[in-house]
Amino acid sequence: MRSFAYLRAESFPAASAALETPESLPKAAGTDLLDLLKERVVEPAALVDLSRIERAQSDPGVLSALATLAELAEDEGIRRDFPALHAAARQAATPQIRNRGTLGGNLCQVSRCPYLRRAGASCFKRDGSPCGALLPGGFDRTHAIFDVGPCACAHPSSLAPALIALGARVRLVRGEERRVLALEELYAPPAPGRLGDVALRPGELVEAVLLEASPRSRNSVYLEMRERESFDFALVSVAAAVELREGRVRSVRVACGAVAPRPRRMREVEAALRGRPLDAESIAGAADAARVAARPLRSNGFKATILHRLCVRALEELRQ
Amino acid sequence: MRTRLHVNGEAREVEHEPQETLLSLLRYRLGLTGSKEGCGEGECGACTVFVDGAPVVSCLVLAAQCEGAQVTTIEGLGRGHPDGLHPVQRAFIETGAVQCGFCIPGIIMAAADAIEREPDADRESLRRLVAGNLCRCTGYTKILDAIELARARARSGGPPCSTK
Repeated sequence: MRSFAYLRAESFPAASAALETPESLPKAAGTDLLDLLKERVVEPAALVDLSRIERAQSDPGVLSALATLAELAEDEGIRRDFPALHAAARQAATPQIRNRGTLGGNLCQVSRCPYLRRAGASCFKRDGSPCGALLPGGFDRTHAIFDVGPCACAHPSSLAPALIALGARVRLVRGEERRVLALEELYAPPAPGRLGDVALRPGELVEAVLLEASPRSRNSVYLEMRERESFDFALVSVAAAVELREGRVRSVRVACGAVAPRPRRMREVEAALRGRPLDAESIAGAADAARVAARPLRSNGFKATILHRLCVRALEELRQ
Repeated sequence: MRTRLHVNGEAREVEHEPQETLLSLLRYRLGLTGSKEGCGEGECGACTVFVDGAPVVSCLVLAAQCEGAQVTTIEGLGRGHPDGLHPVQRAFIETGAVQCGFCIPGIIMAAADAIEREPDADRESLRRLVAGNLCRCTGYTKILDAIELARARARSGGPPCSTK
């Protein structure tokens, strides 16, 4: 690992100011960043430590970006009002990493793509060179099945699809300026030099995630399929939140992880459910809509099948 | 740079490079070689220590981020217990749960925390609670036997597993 200057920030505005200098990177727990540093995929001149920033007073609808995954998984209010988030946080990584890894870090983490994570491999996002997964003979088994352009990365965050299904917004901070975005707008298409796929401005940081409890958020679910039962990243994850009124779907949000370069809102699934009774027939139609929309690569067609099954299971759980 | 922290109850002040991990500080600056570097990527758990009471993988923690922290390593886990052995360590010895031993310090740390936080966990739940630790000898059966033994003793009024 190359050496760097280490700066401890006392506040988000101070961190933001320190990050305006080129070649500096933010680090909360940095469990993902440390891997990238060790592999020399990133070689910053300075790291700005966010972990000592005082957290604002706790409001049930405002989750600090510095909350650990373990804190989210153990929070009774989250379990009750946002079960999809509870399930995503509880299954992420390992107990040791959940004790350290943060909400903001989970949302801004870098894809598990082996081309991106190996210095010297051909990668569009690192330097604009051709995506290794899309080259003849490239490894594309774990990659995207939607929205593949010059990069075939699958987005790794498990919390992002859960939070998108819950209609979360993010509050960003840059110096004294703040702005609020729908979480799905935080993500941007793959671009050279932007490893994390987030549309943050220089020095801008995710400060908090904003959530509103509702009948829909309480009737939410998150499921994921991994190759291994223990520590692994999801091959496909599905989060859904449904509000039923008089037996019909009044409002619905569905989002998936690990199927596209960004966490993907599944509008075709939502459209197939809205206004209809949530029954075996509508669920089958909605899951088919997800599968039909997928455009798998050479060797990851099985992910479209998993996506279909997970959509069925997730929606079945929400029938009440 | 310089970081002040408590390691196994002792105040330490350590000079180190900004890019050093907590694991490197423990092993190479303080000579505490019980915590092992397996993968160096947070997957194997061999480097598990407690930071402020919670198990973490010390290979993914920068030493600089531990200013003021309370760190407990496998060397300090048994402090205050008879013969200096934590009940989980004793259960591993009695069960013969160790093969090559490389993963064991990390597994014992994870198991000590799991038993304290979820004393009623069944074997399946215990498996999940130590899912962040790999044994490359694949000796999981006896490892889980030992963890279950320690958990059963803790539940029947044996010494509690808190030495953080």
